[in-house]
Amino acid sequence: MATAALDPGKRLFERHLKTPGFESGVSKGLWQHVSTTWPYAIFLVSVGDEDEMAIRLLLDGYPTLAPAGQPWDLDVDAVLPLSAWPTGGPEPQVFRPDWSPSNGNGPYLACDRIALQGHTDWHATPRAWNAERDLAFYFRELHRELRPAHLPARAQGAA
Amino acid sequence: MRAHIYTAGTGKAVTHDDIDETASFATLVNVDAAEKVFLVGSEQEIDTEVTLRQVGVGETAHFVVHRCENVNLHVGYTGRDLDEKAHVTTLVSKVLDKTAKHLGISDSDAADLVFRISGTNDELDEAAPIGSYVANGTCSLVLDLVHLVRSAG
Repeated sequence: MATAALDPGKRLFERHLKTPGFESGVSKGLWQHVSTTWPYAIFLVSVGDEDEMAIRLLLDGYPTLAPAGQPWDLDVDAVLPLSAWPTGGPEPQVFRPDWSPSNGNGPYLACDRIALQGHTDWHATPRAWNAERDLAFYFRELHRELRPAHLPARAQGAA
Repeated sequence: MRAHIYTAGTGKAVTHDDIDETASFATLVNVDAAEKVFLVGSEQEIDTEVTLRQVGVGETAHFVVHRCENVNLHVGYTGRDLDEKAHVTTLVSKVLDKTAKHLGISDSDAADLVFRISGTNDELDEAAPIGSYVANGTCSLVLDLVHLVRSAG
C-alpha cells in the first residue's frame, strides 16, 4: 500500500492534473477528470459541440509509457459498446471500428500507448507521445479529433 | 487557490499552488514598472497590490505579465499573408479560429491547423495566451499557419 502512495508516476499524474494546459481545457469545458483508481483514471472529453464521452486511461509507467485509453461507459463501469462510439470527423477516425476493438479499444492516435506499440515508425512523428508529454497533450490530441465528431445518439436524433 | 502565470516570450506558465486568497499578486511575482498584469478570460488589467479575492479570481486563475496590451500578428498561410491583432490574454486557439475565419477556412478544416513560430517547427500550445509567445521588447509575432501532420498508415 505504501508503494502506491510513493508511485512516482502517480505523483506526476496528480501534478499534471493541475498544469495550466490541463486546467485551461477544464475551464473551457473540453475535458475533466472524473476519478482515479490507480493505475486507472476516468475522464470526460467533449465530442462535437454538445456531447461528451468518458474515456478510461491505463496509466502504469506514466509518463514513460503513454496512457492507454478506451471509451468508457460510466453507468456500467465497462468499455463503451461499439455502437455508442463517436463517429465522423477527420479520416482516419479516432476510434476505428476496424482497428480499435482488436487493439484494446484504443484511439488511433500517436499519443496513445496501444497505437504507438503497433506503429513503431510513429515514435519519431510530431504528434507522438514521449516521456516529456503530459495529460494536457494527450487530451489536446484526443479532443482535436473529437471536435468535428458526434455521438450516434445525436446523429439518430438529428435524422 | 492556484495561479498559472505566463510571462513574455516563454509560451509557458509558472504555477503557484496553495495561495491564500488574501495574498496580492505582488507577493507572488516581481513585476517591473513597465509591465502590466492581465487576468486571462477578462482582458482586465489587475491591480497587483489588492488581494486576489478582490481581483475576483476563482479557485484557479491564469495571468499574463507583459509590457504590451495588444500584439500584432503577421500570419503566413500557403502563400497568403494576413495581419491580425489580439489582446495578450487571447488564447492561441481563439486566435487560430479568428484567423481561419478571416482566411475563409471552414471550422472543420480549421481543426486541422496549427500555428508555428515562423520558420521553425515549434507549435504554439493552443491553451496558452498568445502574449506568452511575444518576447519583451516587441509587441509583434510572425506565425505560420500549417496543416498538422497526422500519424497514419
